[in-house]
Formats: sequence, C-alpha cells, structure tokens
Amino acid sequence: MNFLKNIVDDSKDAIVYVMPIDPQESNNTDFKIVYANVAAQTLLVSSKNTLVDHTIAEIEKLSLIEGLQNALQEVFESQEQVNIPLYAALAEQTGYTYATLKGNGEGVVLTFLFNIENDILKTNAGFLESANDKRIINEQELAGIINNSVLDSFNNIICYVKPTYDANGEIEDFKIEYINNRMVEITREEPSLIIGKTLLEYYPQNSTNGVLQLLRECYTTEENVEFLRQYHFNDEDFWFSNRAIKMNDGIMLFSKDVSREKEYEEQLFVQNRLLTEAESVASIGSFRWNLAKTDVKYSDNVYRLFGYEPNEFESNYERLLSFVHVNDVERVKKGFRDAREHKGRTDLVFRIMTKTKEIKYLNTIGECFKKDVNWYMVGVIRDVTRQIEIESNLQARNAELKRTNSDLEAFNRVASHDLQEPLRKIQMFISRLSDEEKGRMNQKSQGYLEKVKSSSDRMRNLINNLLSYSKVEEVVELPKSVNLNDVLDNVLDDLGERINELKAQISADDLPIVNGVQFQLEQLFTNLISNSLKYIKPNTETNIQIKSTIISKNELPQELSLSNDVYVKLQFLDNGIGFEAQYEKKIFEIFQRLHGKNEFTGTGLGLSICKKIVESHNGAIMAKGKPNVGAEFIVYLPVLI
Amino acid sequence: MNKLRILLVDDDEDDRQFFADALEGIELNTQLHLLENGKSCMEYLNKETENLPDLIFLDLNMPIMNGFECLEAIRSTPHLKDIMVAIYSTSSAERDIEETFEKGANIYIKKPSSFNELKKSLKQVVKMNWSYHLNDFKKENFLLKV
Repeated sequence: MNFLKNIVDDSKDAIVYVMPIDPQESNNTDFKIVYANVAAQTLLVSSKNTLVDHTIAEIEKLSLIEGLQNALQEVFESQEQVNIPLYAALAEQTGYTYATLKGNGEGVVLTFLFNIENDILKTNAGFLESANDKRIINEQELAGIINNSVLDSFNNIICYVKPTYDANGEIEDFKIEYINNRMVEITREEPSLIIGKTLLEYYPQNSTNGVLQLLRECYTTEENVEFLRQYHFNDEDFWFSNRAIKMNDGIMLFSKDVSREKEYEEQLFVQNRLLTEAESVASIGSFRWNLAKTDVKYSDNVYRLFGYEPNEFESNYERLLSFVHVNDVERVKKGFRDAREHKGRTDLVFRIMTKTKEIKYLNTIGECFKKDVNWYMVGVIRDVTRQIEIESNLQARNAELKRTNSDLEAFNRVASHDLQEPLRKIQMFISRLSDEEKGRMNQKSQGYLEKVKSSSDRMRNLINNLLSYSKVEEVVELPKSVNLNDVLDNVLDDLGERINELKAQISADDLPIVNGVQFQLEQLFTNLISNSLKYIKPNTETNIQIKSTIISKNELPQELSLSNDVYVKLQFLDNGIGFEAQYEKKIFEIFQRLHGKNEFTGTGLGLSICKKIVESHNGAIMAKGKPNVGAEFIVYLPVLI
Repeated sequence: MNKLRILLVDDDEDDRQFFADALEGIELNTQLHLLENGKSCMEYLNKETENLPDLIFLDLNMPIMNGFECLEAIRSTPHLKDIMVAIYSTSSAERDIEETFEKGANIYIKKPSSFNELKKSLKQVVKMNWSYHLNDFKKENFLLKV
C-alpha cells in the first residue's frame, strides 16, 4: 500500500478523510479529521499545524464552507456523492473551486478539486506538484483508511507499471500492475481487463510515439518525466497530459484527459492570432483586469501604443498611471475607481507620454463582467490622437467661421438696414420732386431724374435681396408640412402681372407635400420662375414647365451627398436664352451675374438665395443650361412618405 | 364732426415734414401735433390730460427715449392705455413687429419710400372707423402693408 499513500500525498487535489465523532447521533454531530494529504494541509491550515484530530468546526476554512456540515451528514447516511462549491475568497486565493464528498463506509472522503482548467494551459503536465513526503499519519493508519475508492475519486488516470527485461537485461516493456477506474470513461474497459497487460500490448504505438523510451529514461535516471501525447481509442482522438514518477521498482503514471483543453487551446491560439492581427491593423490594444488584483493583462499592442516593445514594462495598474498626463491622472483614477465600484462601463479619453516623450491621446473603453467568483474588466485602448487633433482643428475653424459669419451678418445688417434709411429718404425726395416739378422740368432734367429714380430702385432691390439672403439662416419659424401646389399657386398669383404681360405658358405637375418653411419655399419658387420670366428669348412664346418626380436616394446624382431615403425632384424648365454649361456651378455664387446690368434687371443674388433655401431644407439644387435653348433648374427636396 | 387729433413722435425732421405734408395732402379733418422723442411725448401726454390725441404715430429708433420704451410707458399709464398707437418705422424686421405688438401697439406701418404711398397709408389709417374697429384691434393686431 505504500505507493497508494504516495499517490495520495502527491496529488494536487486536497484529500481529507473524516469520521463522525458520534455515529449514533443522527443529527448535528461534528466530524473529526482522521487523515489529510499534503495538499489539504497546505490548503486548509498553515504547514505548522496539523489537521488530523481536529473537528470540522475547529478548522476555520472548513467551517466557512456553507452547508458542509449538513452535506457531510447527508453523504455519511446515503453513502452517495455530492459536490459543493467553495466560498469565493478561498476559491480565488487557491484555485480550488469545489469539494466532492463521497461516502466511504465509516467516514466520508472530502476531495477538494484543483481547478485544472486554470492550470492546464500554464503547464500541461503540471497538475501534480511534487510533494515531499510528509508523513501525516502512519502508514498503518493510512492503509486502514485508504482504499481504491479514494484513488478512483481522482480526476486523473493513475497507473503503476513495472519494467520487463529482454535477454540482454534491457528494459523492453512495462507491465501494468495497477490502473484506477478512470479509463472506463474513455475506453469502456474495466481495470481488471487492463491490469496484467504490458504497455505495448495495450497500446502498441507506445513504442513509436516515444513513450516507451521516455519511461525507460524515467526509470533509469529516476527523474520525473512530463509529456503530452495524442491517443486514439474507439475512433476518437484524445490528448493526455502525462507525468511519470519513478517509485520503488516501478513507475507511477498520472494521465489527464486534456482533449477539451487542447481543443480550447487551439481555438484560443487561433483567436489570439486573429485578435493580435486585428489590433495591430486598427492600432487598438486590449486588456483584461482581475479587479481584485493590481495586475492587468495587456495585449502586445498596448505596449506598442505606449511606445514600448511587448512586455517591456510591468503590467500593473500603477505603472499604467505613470504614463498618464499629470492633469488627467485624477480623472483616470476616478474613472477606474467608479467602474470598479459600480461594475459599470468606463469610457475615458486621456493624454499619455510615450517612451519617446510623445504626447498621445488614448481612449479606453472597459466593461466589467463576472466569471466564476471574480470580477474582471475587459476593454480596449486606442489611439485617438488624430481624431482629437482633427476635432480641435475643426473646432478652431468653426469658431473662425462663426466669427466671419457674424462679421458678415453685422455687415449685412448695416448694409441693409442702415442703408435703407437714407435710401428711403432719397426716394421720398425724388418722388416729391417728380410730383411737384411735373411738366416744369426740361426733357434733359426729366431724363436725369428718371436715372436717379431707377438707380435708387435698383439699390433698394439689392438691399432687400441682401437682407433676405442673410435672413435665410435666421428663420424663427419651425418647419411644417407645406403643400407645394399651394406654394406654386401663391407664387403664380404674385407674378400674375408679368406672366400676363408676356403671355407666358406655365404648366406644372401635381406637386407633393414637403416639410419646410412656407415663405422660404415661396421665395424659392418666385426666384426660379421670375428668373425664367426674366431671361426670355425675344419673339418667342415663353414656356415654363414644372415637373415633379419622386425618387429614392440611390437615384440622386452621385456628386450629391444627401441622407434622406426619398426625395422629390423638381425640374423648372424654360425655353429662354439659357446659359453656357460652364456656368452651371457659378450661377449660384453670390453676386454672380452672367449678363450685363443693362441687359437684364437683377441683383445677382436670386439664385444664391435659392441655393441657401434649398440647402437649409436639406436638399440640393443644380442648374443645366444650353445657350438659346433654355435653362433647367433641378431642386431635390426630402419628402416624407 | 370733431377733428381727429393725431400725434407724431419722430426724431427725423424730414420724416416729420413728409408726414405733415402727406396728412395735409389727404385733406381729411385732422389736427397734427409733432414731437421728437419718447420723453417729450410722455411729458406732453401727462400734461395734456384734457386734450389727449386720438391716435399716436410712434417711430422706434429715437434718442433719449426710444419707441419701445415710450410704448411701454403709454401702456402702463392708466389714462393713456387705451389710446391707439401706430408704429411708424423703417424697420421691417419680424422681431420688431412682434415685439411692438406684444407691448401693445395696434398698427404697424413701415415707412414707405414714395410720397404717394405715404399718403395712401395715412388715408387708410385715418379713414378707419375707429370705434367700429376698436374690438378687432384688441383681438388682433394690424399690420399695414403698403
């Protein structure tokens, strides 16, 4: 039985055997510890104290496990198996997550399972730490208590083999002396069918996969060997993590089925590769932080963001703070503190100083989540320096634009409002002068007065247009549903005199309802139609057509970037003098006149006002012209369907 | 029939002259008094309590006391609060019109740029049957478009 004791002591699983103090007492009896292995000793008490002979209630860590006493009682009576979770603090500190209780005749075997999943990826075969044999109880006692069921309660396959020799005295194989019943789960073979076979008989590939050689070395050098091998049973692949320990005249083999972990590991490897690639492309780093600790796990790119090589600085919270700009440190601290406290989301932008003394803006976004008993914050860190710079440039430019705009506005106000006053007086005096001196002035003076009059009329016109141009943006009225048919009717009404004078033919489609400001839309229609009534071809019947089509966003001309889904396309077509295609854009610029002042009346503001109105309605306007054929103005306005 | 007593408050001498000439030109039974700012207007109205005007034309942009202040003063003086007030200004700004109506103006006339137009609008205002329109004015203000 000696090797069995060694196995138990060598296990990383903590094993405690307890017996009821008073078996007759069915309720509320405490249990006394009669055996504990090294791992249990380490787990539950400091190495100086011994667990044996103490009751469960006397061992603080055991007494803190919720429901342990009841569970022991239950298992002792039913002789069945029960799993109970350990309390968070213990699990977090030690890596043991739950305890298995199994009835075993006179007592109960308590096995604290080490969380292999945590451990396996670190050291593939490291589930058994070497344990110096500390004799906790004498061997006789142990033999009395321990039987195979303890070994069977392990997660691992445990196997004891002894070498067999060939004629030359060389080890040619190993004979299986003992194997616990874990193999049943994998191969459906009872231990009794395996015991007695040699390793090569049982699994011939052991000679070709190097295992036999490894065991030979283990036996001759007496050094522990760890290895990971793939096995094939019943058409299924398994990965075993193995550890071989020379013991007496044989080898103790511990094998752990790590197929799932191996699969996860592969997935993880692939995902990590993908993440790393993605991070370096997007210049983003990621981090994972166990909130109970100060260590933070960074991805390689985090180090690069700070100007370092991967792992070049210590990965903890304090070190991170040391990069942060003095003026931002408090804010960053507070952000993380809040997130830690409320397990909420953080979204911080702060400045850092990189290794090369470069100032960068970083944005970190983290979310908290709970896994098992621990809270983690997982998040990304990205470099937003460029965005911030662009933004602040934009802000500066915006401010400048605002200043220019308000200067312009002030100028406009002066130009339009204050100029009106003297102009009005000039016009008033002219009107009085022409009234009173009617018939008394000679032809020449009469002509001069007419010139003064028409010049002042033009000036008034200009001022009014300037005023309405600057007013498009300062509309107080909220947009409403406006029926464009009503707009057109009103405008044609206002322009009636001119239309009759020219005997102009005007036809229009049925127009939709749009969201807008009525008086502005009326001004738009007025300007466009009176434009057509102005630039007419002599000796031709003036013809104006207004077409309306509903179009979807993707039917818009490509150069327009508009965001609504549906638009109305309004076409104002005339058969006037038209214009050269090269003026299609220029025509909308402020004070842009294509014709001499004396040919046609106008201030050069009409179409600029149209453009401003259409744009303030989130639409667009375009012009097409052909000299001596006509002009076409196309207005796109968003419509609600 | 009694003469309609009209008071014009305007700091611009030319405008006062235009107004007087236009009023004379429409040959209606009116009596005009001219003042040059809000302050002199209030002094006049507080003194002439027996002989108050029927209609006050008020310019907005004036020194010492402007039209807005004068309008407020008129509307907050008990014996003056029911007098008809017509704003007579160069401004056609929406907010000026609204503000004066809020402060209790009854009519808003934008100063025209021709003498004939001025005569036309004064005729319109003076010929109104005031007592008949009184209730309408109180309900809805009146913007005279010329």
